[in-house]
Amino acid sequence: MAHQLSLFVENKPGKLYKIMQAIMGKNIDVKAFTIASADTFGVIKMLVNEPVRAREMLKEYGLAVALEDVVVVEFTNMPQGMFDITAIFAAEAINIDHAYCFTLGSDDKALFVIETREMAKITDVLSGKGFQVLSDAQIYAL
Amino acid sequence: MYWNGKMETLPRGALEALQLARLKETIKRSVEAPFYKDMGLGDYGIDDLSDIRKLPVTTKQDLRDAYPYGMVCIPLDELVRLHSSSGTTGTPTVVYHNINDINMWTELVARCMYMVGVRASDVFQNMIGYGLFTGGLGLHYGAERIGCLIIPTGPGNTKRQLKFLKDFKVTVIHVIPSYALHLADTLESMGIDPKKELAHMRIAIVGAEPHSEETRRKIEEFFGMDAFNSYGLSEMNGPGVAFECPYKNGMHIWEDAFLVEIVDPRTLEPMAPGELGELIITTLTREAMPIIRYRTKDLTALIPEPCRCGRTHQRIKRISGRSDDMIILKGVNIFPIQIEDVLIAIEGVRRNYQIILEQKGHNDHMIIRVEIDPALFQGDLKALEGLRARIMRELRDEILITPEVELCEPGSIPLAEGKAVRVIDKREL
Repeated sequence: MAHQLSLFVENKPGKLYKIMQAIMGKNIDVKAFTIASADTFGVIKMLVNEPVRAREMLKEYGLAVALEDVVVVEFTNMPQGMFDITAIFAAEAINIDHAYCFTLGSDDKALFVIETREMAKITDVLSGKGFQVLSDAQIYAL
Repeated sequence: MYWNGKMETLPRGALEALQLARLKETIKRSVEAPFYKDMGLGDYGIDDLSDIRKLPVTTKQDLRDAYPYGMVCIPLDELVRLHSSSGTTGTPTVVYHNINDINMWTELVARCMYMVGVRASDVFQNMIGYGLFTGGLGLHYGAERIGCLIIPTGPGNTKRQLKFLKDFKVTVIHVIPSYALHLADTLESMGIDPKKELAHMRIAIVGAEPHSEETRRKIEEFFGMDAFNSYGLSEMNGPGVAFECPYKNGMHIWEDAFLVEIVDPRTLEPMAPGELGELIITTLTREAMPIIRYRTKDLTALIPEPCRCGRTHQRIKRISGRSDDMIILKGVNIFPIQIEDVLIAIEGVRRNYQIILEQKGHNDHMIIRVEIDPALFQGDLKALEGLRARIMRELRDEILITPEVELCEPGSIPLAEGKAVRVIDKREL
């Protein structure tokens, strides 16, 4: 099981900069982030190495931040890999709350980050079909 | 030109003698109310109007504490009506009337309306709320006494309002200022020039909300009619306390019914004539529920000079503010404490908040800014949206108005050092 940070921010200029100021120069590596907004506020999700340490830094900076469980699954060969994973979700009737994808480095490896209410089931199903579900340490070892 | 010429032009000496007699009568009557019973009001020795200063003041909180019947000084079966304040904290403030009170209130409103030119031949569309709110029924009774044809629409349903204005050739309207401006906007967007197509409209009575000279000017110019400022408060019946005459320079306050003081809100010492202070009113004719020295919290000044209209009753200036933190929005009275009470009971937000009042177009609206509680933040956008919806719903139940709610980052709202800091009023009054 991997973790992501979820931050509450007002929907105003300079907010991402404020977050980056909190972690800059402290060996926090940001692999990916997404922003979802609801008019005057939003939530930023970040995948970082050392999420627990990063959370403390952001907290000290006065931000509202939560640590969330996510399933991170590795796949290759876009779009075939994506096709295979989504076919499994469809067949197993797994609903996703929030997700994002990103590629790693120059090879065709990609990571799919998934938030769902069925964490255990999704992990079992994906592992059973031969996909690798990664931990925080494994993500940053890639 | 006068509804009650004798009373409206009563020489000052006679008017003050009448006030003194009625004040004594009022004190005698008030001690029958449980609230005033043990205050020894009869022992103060009132020989002169200025002796009123010896008496204790009555506050809105007193009226609440006396809920439900503690201020009533007549047998309950003689009561014929009650009105209750809008959007109050927990306990409402209730005012009771017997039939003489209703008649006197009606007389005062009729005076006001007749003063600005309303006659029996007028068609009067009353666009202010009926029901517990005093505005609708107050003007309704006054207009009926004069003999107008009344269209009791109440507020809202702009399309129907406009249809009636046109079809019934309405000549007089009663409206809150922001709604008058909203009507103007609507007409403009429909390409209707009221000066041509609604030329029969001639008088707007504008009340229930503070508004500026600028707003009056806009209403008058757009509709091509005269707009008059009305002052009232539910504790003093409602509308009909003070009203502008055709000279539109201050509002005549009916001194045969109300004894007026202007005091320093901190010390309660009288202000010099013409100086700004808090308006304190004692009822002089109320039978069911006399109120002694009621602190209105409204800031104004007396205009001591006689008015060209010939009425001897003094004028007060446009209300320039409040000596407490009450907010008046869309005719509803709101105290920040009500908002605070709602927010405190909701998990997920902290206690620090701000109330911002703005105008969007011609509509006043309220924005509540509140910080989320970082300890309870789960990271979920949907949960935040749910939290915001819940705050809006609960505030709406409490203050009768749906505010916008902005969730803010912890620590982003300046800590309030005084009550006033919490309220940022950007409206142009």
